Amino acid sequence: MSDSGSAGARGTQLFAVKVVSGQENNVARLIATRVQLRGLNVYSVLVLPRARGYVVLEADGIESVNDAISGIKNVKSVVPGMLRIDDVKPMLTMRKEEVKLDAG
Amino acid sequence: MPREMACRACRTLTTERTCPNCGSTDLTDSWSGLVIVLNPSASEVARLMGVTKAGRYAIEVH
Ligand SMILES: [Zn+2]
Repeated sequence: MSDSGSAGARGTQLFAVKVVSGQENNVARLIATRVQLRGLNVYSVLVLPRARGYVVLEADGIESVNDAISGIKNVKSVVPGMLRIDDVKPMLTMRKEEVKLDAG
Repeated sequence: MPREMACRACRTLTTERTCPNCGSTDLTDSWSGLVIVLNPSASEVARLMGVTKAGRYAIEVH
């Protein structure tokens, strides 16, 4: 199994979308609703901690992303250069017990 | 809309007093990052999170 390239094990890709700062969660919600209504191939929508001004879409390709964000309020643009699944993997797999400093 | 609480056990976000996913009552309003899983069977993100249901999840629960 090759671990190279930007696609995850399931062949999905991540796309960073620039949005108005402070509107990340609202935009994510609007995009999710659009995806459900239109049955788009966007599999998840992420707002990463400490990544102000960005929403990340996991999708099968850029066309699905464009369909999901076009005309959505407070969306600016897709950021060129793909985000890799490995970039977000540590925070997604992080468990509370692992990050908490144990005083005991 | 009231702020969502995150389940410390499974990271599900909810406005209920009990986690609708796992039944835990160990909820916190101290969380950050958001993942809306739309298609868990296709999502690599969901797989990495250990999530099998569509829904809203926190990334970090404090
Ligand atoms: Zn739970």
